Amino acid sequence: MPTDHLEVAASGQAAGSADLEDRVSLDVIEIGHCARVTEVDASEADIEQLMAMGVCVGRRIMLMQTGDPMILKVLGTRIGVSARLARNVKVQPCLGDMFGEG
Amino acid sequence: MTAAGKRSLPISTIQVSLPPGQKAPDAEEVCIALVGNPNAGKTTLFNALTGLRAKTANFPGTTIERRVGHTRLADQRVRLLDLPGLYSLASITPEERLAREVLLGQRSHQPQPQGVILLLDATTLERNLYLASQVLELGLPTVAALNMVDLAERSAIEIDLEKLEAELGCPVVPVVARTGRGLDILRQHLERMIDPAGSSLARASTEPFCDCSGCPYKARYDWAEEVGARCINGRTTAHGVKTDRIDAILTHRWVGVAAFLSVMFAVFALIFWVAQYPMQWIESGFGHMGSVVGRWVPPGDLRSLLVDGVIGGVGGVLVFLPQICILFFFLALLEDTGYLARAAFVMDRLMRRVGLPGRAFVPILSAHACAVPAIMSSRVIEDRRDRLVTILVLPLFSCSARIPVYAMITALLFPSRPVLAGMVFTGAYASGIVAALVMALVFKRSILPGESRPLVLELPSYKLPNLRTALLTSLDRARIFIKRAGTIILAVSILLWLLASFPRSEPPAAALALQAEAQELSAAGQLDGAEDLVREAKQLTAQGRLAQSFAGRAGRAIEPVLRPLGFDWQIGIGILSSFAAREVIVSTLAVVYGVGESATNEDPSPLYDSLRDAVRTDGTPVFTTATSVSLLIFYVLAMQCLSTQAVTRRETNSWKWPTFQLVYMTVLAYSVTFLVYQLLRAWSLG
Repeated sequence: MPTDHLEVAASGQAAGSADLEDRVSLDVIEIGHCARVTEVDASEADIEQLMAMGVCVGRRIMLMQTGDPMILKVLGTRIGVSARLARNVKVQPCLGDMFGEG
Repeated sequence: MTAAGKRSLPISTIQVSLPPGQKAPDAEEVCIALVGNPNAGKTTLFNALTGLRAKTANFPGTTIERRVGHTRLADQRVRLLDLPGLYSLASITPEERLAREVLLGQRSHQPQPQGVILLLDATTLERNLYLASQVLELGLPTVAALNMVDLAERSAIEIDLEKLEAELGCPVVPVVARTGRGLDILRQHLERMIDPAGSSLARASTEPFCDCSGCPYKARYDWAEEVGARCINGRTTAHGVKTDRIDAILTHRWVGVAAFLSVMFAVFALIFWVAQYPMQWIESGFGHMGSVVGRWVPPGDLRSLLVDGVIGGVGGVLVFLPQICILFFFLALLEDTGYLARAAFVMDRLMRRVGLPGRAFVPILSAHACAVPAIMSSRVIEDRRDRLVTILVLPLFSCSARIPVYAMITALLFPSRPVLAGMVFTGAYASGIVAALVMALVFKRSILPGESRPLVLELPSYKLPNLRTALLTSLDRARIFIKRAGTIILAVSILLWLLASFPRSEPPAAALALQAEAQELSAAGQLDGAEDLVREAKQLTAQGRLAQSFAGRAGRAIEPVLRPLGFDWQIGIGILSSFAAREVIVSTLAVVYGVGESATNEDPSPLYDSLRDAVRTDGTPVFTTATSVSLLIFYVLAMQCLSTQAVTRRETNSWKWPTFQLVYMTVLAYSVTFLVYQLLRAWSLG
């Protein structure tokens, strides 16, 4: 159970070793669950803005509300994001502990 | 070695000493830039440091707002420059590029600041450290202000200031900008920072990140997380349970929309209710000013120019100032609470379908007061396509200058039937909204294709708003409105006065006859009767003058074009004179149908009565149902405001878009009005 994604992360290690099959697009994860960003497809011009706000590789995010736009929480900040952009972000659900490296 | 592999960053404090008394080369004034994330309390801190003296203008050659204020530090006048709120200095958005150039001293007319106040939000420190790493890299003397430490304390976020100072290599001052806590210490640090004779000038610096491999954001965020881990005990960010609970309602798919509509309805009701008093004061103030000038200046062209042209014209527009102030006051309050971001979030879902971004709703709301500040506020929209579409459709929303026109037409259509009158008003507003949305969709499918920019919007934690910030914002907006609109409105008022007053013509024979009759009566002692006749003669004279003037001739010239809409040349003059401000048509019609202007000010009902009774030369009434309805629709849709055109020109930096705006709105207004009038005629309502 991802207890609290807000706790301190002591490591900047990315989930690079994660199974590819575990990776899902940001717009399909479940509400209230923690996930770690594994890949951001930067081809969309506007994705940079999202990355500058913390949705970039290695960060833990939580889906607060589904829909289009959806609400994410990253680094303690809620961000409203279009589903179109969210599709470009691949995440791996955090299992067991908050770092999600399992 | 990759950037991602970097574990810690060497941070050096360079001792820089300048010879005593040496000043910055090109300016006597020291300039400090204020940099920080949006929603970190930058405006509040800026206001707390500078007070009322701040000035808002544009960075030269851009539409990005620049706020400059002054403060005293160690008996020295110091310029404080508020840079736009930023998440990064990566030069993606125009704001970021500009901020970077300003901080590096690369912009002309904008000397490089001597120091930086780096604003950090204690409740979201890790995210704020991202921008911090980029700012510190620039190597400018920096003092970090750690804002909202009270909220952080309440959320059990403990920040080790000494460690953070060591990590950042610059002084860190805990402050609460809202209450003023810690500002004295911040000032002391700033004094030390700008003191040229000071023995040491802390020059913050971090080793540049290698942003070359993989995700360029990762390295900095890794660093931010590490610094956060070393400096923060307890939680790293506020939990925000309350915010989550409120958001569950306010960002809900349907409840959120209902909440948004209720909030906006309340704001509008308040605006119209509160503003009516200051509007009355302004009206009577200008009326008083007019009569004072009338007493001192001898009758003639100069008096007419001053009283009718300058005072009447400028007063007719400044009367909307209270509405604009109150609107911006409430918008600032709503923004400060964090609700405005939710409103944009909720509206994005709906407005994106017609190609408008959610953020466009702020200008759209403002447009219901006046299109001029609305177009000015469309700057919240970053994307050029989105902003252009918004600017193009904004004048379709019913501004308050249309209210007197709607009131007049409603009175013509349904005298003493308040329910029907209310429906006419609502219908007019709804038509404007529908027209704007349809046109936005048309532009999306035609000249401005593409989707509106996808939403990426921070939803800050809810908090109590700061009245001082809201007051200062609305004063600031008022200043901009008076300055920008005031100059052009003055010019337009004088121009229209000239057109309506020249060429001079002799009073008509009927007026001269009345005058002669009046003289006979007064000689016979019947003063009351004489006065009535004189008033009647004056009205006839004014009517004749206007008919013979350039405006009157123009009205006659366009009559054939207006005829299919059910308008005669008198209404034509009204439409032309509306370009100063739409409500001018009411006073113009008062003159052309010979009611006398005094009737419009005190009690408008004589005007409405006489308009209803107005007949054409063939004896048919002028204001039939069809004509009234088509006049209403024309006023909903037509672009009749030179001030709006001027501000569109300014904001789009070309004459192309205001011209296009005028053409498309005129074509739209003409065709819809034509259709409606002909249909109503066919149903024998003409």
